[in-house]
Amino acid sequence: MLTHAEKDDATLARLAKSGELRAFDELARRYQSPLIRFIHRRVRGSDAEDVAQETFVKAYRSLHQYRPGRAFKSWLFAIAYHEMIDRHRRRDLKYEPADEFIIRDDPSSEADRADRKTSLWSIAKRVLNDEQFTAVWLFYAEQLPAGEVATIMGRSWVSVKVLLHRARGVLARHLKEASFLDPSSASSQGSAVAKVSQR
Amino acid sequence: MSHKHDEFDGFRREADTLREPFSPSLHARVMRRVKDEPIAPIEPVLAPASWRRPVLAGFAVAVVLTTATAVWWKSTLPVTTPGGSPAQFVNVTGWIGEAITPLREKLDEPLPAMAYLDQDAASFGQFVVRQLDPWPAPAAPPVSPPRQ
Repeated sequence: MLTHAEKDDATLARLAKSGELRAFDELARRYQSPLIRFIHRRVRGSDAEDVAQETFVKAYRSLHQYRPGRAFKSWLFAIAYHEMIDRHRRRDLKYEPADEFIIRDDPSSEADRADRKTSLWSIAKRVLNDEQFTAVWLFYAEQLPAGEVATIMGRSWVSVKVLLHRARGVLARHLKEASFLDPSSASSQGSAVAKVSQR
Repeated sequence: MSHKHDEFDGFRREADTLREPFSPSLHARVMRRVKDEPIAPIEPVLAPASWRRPVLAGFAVAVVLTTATAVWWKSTLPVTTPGGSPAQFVNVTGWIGEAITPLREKLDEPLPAMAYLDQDAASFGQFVVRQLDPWPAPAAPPVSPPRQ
């Protein structure tokens, strides 16, 4: 007999749908960290927890709409994404300014802080628009296929591909400029800058 | 994943360092709220993916019933065509002909200027010239006295 921790998402969702709270407990446990990480890229700390909480509650209420064929993570992220958009429209949320892009472990030294400011995702946050950043995050950080990204963002597959293509172009240009202005930073930014600047 | 660009591996690696710690307090809040929520609605009898079949079947039945009713109704119409042929089939062409007859008659009426088109070229030319530069009618030639 499998424990809840060993069961897959679809099974847990089905059990939760039938009223088994422990199954939903396991799902919430499983996806809390990735969800908060996704929300934190757009929303400040305490607001992010509020959004996450509301997302899980909405997911529980809407479990009857969840289709087992679909990835639970994408379904959950789609709820979170729309919750953030709704709150933004109601002006309940303050978007995180690009310069204050938060990396959870606080930099201890000036050198660390400088590294943080030139981190790839900080640059991405600064140079990409909101939709491009979200698409790039879901694609690279969450490693979701373009189809899933499209479902989360409520767009077509083609438009997500276009969004990603344009975002890559903007990123490549900025990363190239950054490494041109400060060649020593290229090594600290990992292979992405180095490879892009070689092109 | 192999389908993603290698140039952006750095993004993936950096994202891996941005892990969020599990928050027991958030989890407790979520579960407390969920416990108060009503149990998710009972799944509908028809699964979302299987709605098409009954809808299509219903549509097909509706089409068959409508066609049968229309054929039966047509068969009950009296025969009114002068030629004696069955009038069950509506003479759509005739209706259209009747509808456009006044229009055709109107189009067949000659316009004033067009009336000259029916005459020879010379008279049409005269008409045009007169329209452009009308001149007074030529005086009648003097009548010479009869020779004696």
